[in-house]
Amino acid sequence: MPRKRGRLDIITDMLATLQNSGGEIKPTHLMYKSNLSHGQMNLYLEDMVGKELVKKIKKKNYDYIIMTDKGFEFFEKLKQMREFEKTFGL
Amino acid sequence: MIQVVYTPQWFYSKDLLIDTVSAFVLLLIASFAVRYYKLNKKNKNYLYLAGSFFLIALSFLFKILTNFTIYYKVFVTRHLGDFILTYPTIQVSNILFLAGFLFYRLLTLLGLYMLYSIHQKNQSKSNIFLMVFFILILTYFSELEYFIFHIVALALLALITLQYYRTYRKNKQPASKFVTASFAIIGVSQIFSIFVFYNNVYYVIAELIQLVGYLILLMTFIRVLRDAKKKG
Repeated sequence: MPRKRGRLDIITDMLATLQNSGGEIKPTHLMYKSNLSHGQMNLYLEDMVGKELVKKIKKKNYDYIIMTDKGFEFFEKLKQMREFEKTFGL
Repeated sequence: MIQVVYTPQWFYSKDLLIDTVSAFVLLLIASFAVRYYKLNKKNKNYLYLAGSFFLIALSFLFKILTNFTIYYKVFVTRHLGDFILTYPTIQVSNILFLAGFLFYRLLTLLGLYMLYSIHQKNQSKSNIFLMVFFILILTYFSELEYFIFHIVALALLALITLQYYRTYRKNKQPASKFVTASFAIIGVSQIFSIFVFYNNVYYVIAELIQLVGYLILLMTFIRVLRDAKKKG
């Protein structure tokens, strides 16, 4: 049985979804692609906006979430951490 | 005093360089493990890995400092009748030797035991206490029979290699295979260290094998960072 995702796993998945979408995505798409409920997504999004990992913008009357440079850097660190964790079996 | 200089004269300072490289590799990986722990404080294994690598690196620093004390060069002046002869020689000192090598052995064994313990779930505190106690006793007695230290280090390294091999079997990550190989090679270097009493060439072989082991560990670590970048 796959283990329940932790906070950091969810943030990693959200950032991965954002990066795979070219750093810009609509909130609903982010929600579906990251397998989150609306409430969960808003909770994590607030946290990520607060930490300046992502930004909310408006484009042609649509809401968009964009990944900041800090977000890209953080995602790189997270990927390294996961790879390190797997390699050393931590 | 027991014999401490196993290095052939032509190998002086080269072994210090090898130990410096080994300590550098360990400190580099430990610093990254601390950085990752700050990202994910729920996983204490990062901290334990950093702690164990730091202890082993520190043990190398003690060995380096001790060797520096041992290998100092002095000019000896002798009177031969009417002649005064001055010539350079390598002087062996035991001022810092006892303390330095004691810490080298203690920190190496504690570091290896800590690394081994990462993969041992649910270890009771009394077991850990008992092991640390045995390590302290072993460290003291290996002063008299130096090879005992290498036998214990070899046993711990064999267990660590086995753990990493299991990790590799589980995740099939090529990097884990190289981590397994690096610890196996470092273990092999301990086998040669056991026999330094018989011939000091074994010391050279052990040091060179140790260098290969730590270089593989360094290359694996660089590969981990590189592979992470490639992944989306």
